[in-house]
Amino acid sequence: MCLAVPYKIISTDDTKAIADVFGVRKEIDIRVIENVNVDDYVLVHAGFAIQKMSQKEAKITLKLLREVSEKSI
Amino acid sequence: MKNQFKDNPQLLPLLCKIDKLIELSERKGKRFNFMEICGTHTVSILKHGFRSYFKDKIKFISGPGCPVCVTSQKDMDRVIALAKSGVKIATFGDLIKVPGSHSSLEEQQALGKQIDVVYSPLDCLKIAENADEEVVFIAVGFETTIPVIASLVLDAERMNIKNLSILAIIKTIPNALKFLLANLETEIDGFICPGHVSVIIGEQPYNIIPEKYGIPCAIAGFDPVDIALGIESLITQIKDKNPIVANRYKRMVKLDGNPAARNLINEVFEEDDVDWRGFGKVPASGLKLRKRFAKFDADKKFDIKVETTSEPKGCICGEIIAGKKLPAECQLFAKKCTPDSPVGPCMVSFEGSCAAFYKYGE
Amino acid sequence: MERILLSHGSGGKNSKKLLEFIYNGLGKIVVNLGEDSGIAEIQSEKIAITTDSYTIEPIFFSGGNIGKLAICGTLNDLAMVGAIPKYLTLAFILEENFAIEDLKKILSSIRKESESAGIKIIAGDTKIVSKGKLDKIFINTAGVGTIEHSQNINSKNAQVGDAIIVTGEIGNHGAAIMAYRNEFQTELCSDCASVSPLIQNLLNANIEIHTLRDPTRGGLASILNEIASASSVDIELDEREIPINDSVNGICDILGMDPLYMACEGRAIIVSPESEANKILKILKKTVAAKNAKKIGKVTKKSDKPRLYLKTFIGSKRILPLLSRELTPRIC
Repeated sequence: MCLAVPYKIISTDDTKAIADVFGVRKEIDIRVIENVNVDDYVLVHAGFAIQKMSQKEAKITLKLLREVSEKSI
Repeated sequence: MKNQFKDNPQLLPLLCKIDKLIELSERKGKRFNFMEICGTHTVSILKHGFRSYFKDKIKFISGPGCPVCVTSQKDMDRVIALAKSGVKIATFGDLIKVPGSHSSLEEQQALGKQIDVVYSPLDCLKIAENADEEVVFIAVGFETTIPVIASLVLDAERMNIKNLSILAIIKTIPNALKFLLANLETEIDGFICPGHVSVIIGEQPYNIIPEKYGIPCAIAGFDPVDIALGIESLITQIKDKNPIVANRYKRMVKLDGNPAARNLINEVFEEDDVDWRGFGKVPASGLKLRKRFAKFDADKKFDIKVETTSEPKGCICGEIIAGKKLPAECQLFAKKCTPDSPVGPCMVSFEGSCAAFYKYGE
Repeated sequence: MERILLSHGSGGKNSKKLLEFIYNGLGKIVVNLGEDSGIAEIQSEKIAITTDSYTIEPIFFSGGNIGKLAICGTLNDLAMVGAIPKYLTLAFILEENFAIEDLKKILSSIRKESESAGIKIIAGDTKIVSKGKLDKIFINTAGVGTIEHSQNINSKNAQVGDAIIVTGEIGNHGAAIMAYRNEFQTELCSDCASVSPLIQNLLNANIEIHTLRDPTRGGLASILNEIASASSVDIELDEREIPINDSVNGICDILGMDPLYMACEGRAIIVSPESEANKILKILKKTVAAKNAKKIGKVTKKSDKPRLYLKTFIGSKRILPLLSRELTPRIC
């Protein structure tokens, strides 16, 4: 029901930020995201960031992928 | 940066693993019924080829998570009545083609009414500032979209914009899910929970599904790796007879969701009993503007007169949304109802199950 | 003269002024100046004729403008039957108040593209309509080219076993336009260009070609559906092999659109026997414009119910349908 894409933060200005998806830049709203820093990834829906992506959890999921696919049953 | 969740060498081994798990499960021969609640999942599952990959093993049933499809005929008629009245309409592209009882926004646009498609609700601020006439944003959406709609209202208040209002046709998932579960007619073996709604509401609202109904749940993202991991979790839960709410989208979905976004929602909106196509009125399954924001409420600002509302004859969109029937079971499907001349919303919406089934030829 | 006035279309002094301005802007590519009909000198048994009208918002976009688009579009239509372009006709319909400075830029692009293709403008017309009657500028063209090969190149001629080759990344034009309309900043340019030289290179090397199409409106998936239908065959594409620019993927992800359905304005789809595929790629890749050329699929079988299939990242097959309506940005 909801398309959302991770954007990389390029710069922030109060509740707004400029963010990048593969070289495409757009001003987004970051008012509900705490502690946003340059180079963070945020999940954006309709121009509005709804969550900061956890790099740590992303790595854990990819690790889980390896484990699950390699584990014998 | 390559998206490792889309194209990953481990993906095919994972699918083989799932195949094996299914073979080992006790349900040999009988397909699993998995319901994906979210329409974006419906599209991803089709688009990446999961439906055809698992066609003998898993039946994917689309749930009530396409905001266009669940918008009631009456609400759609109200939208079109507003457009006819001459206000400037701002809307997501998704709604443009949806037929009301007598017309659609697209048809009103052709007749010269002002209809602007926006990418973000916040774009309406600029539209209203540059317009002399009244601007109404057609606010459809679930929890993912509501924070940005709330922000629009708060910004309009702060900027003292007087010619902007919203027509709230907003729905929320938890109580609709409870309603769905209490009225299930199809046996569901697992739920793929909506990744981006969960970003806002967190994991907790799904607990009732395994606890009360014993049905496994997996919160999943939308890339192929995410979907495959979600399916793997559901099948493992079934095999282990241990239904839980597994979060397979942890990089985006926190246990408690996004409280700041929910605070924003609560500041602007309050619970309401709303109409769902397919369900009828569901208690506390939607939102309306709080009194403080009455001046931004298109319902209060305009006298929206709806001509008689009539559901399209023979259309079973309601039953399809409720997971009771598949598109092919509708007598209109691919005959009177096609994407070129849709009868019901499930054929209009990009993620509607009828449109998806028609397009992908299943 | 700063803006187009209704009197520029009156037939009087101002009309003459505008015509002179246009002739000036186009330079030597205009032949048969001032006559009611142009006379073409053609020595060929077969000639190809095409016509098209151009309207685009915005008229100036990253990588081109409506003038370049009109000339390249016409050249590409001629190239798709393997014709060598010779003459064009050119008609402008202008909205009152259109900026002369903009017209100048458009004329300059038309001149540049025509000169590099070695074609002449043999007839033309200008009409002015009052404000609000059309959006800024429409351009109509016709193109005439000679056929100097003896192959049967058409949409009905795709054969089982043929390779499907695309001359570069797809969807750049459509995505660049969407980016502009939605206020995204991007370095992405439209791919607007003439593919005529690429096709001439292939024909000069005696490459066997069965079908040529340029994937404009509707993009790669729509045009391949048309080919499948016309030839009564199934076509299968490999998702992994289709060249798509990262920014095009980014824009499409954001707006919920599909690059496979985004318009290209400087690409060709080549359907040729598999045995020619490597030669074709080698010739194409010699040119910068086609350095990303790729074999993306094949014609799999004859079919009463022709379908276009996509082999996805997970190795599964799905149908790529013909879309029944225009793409609009969506949130879900």
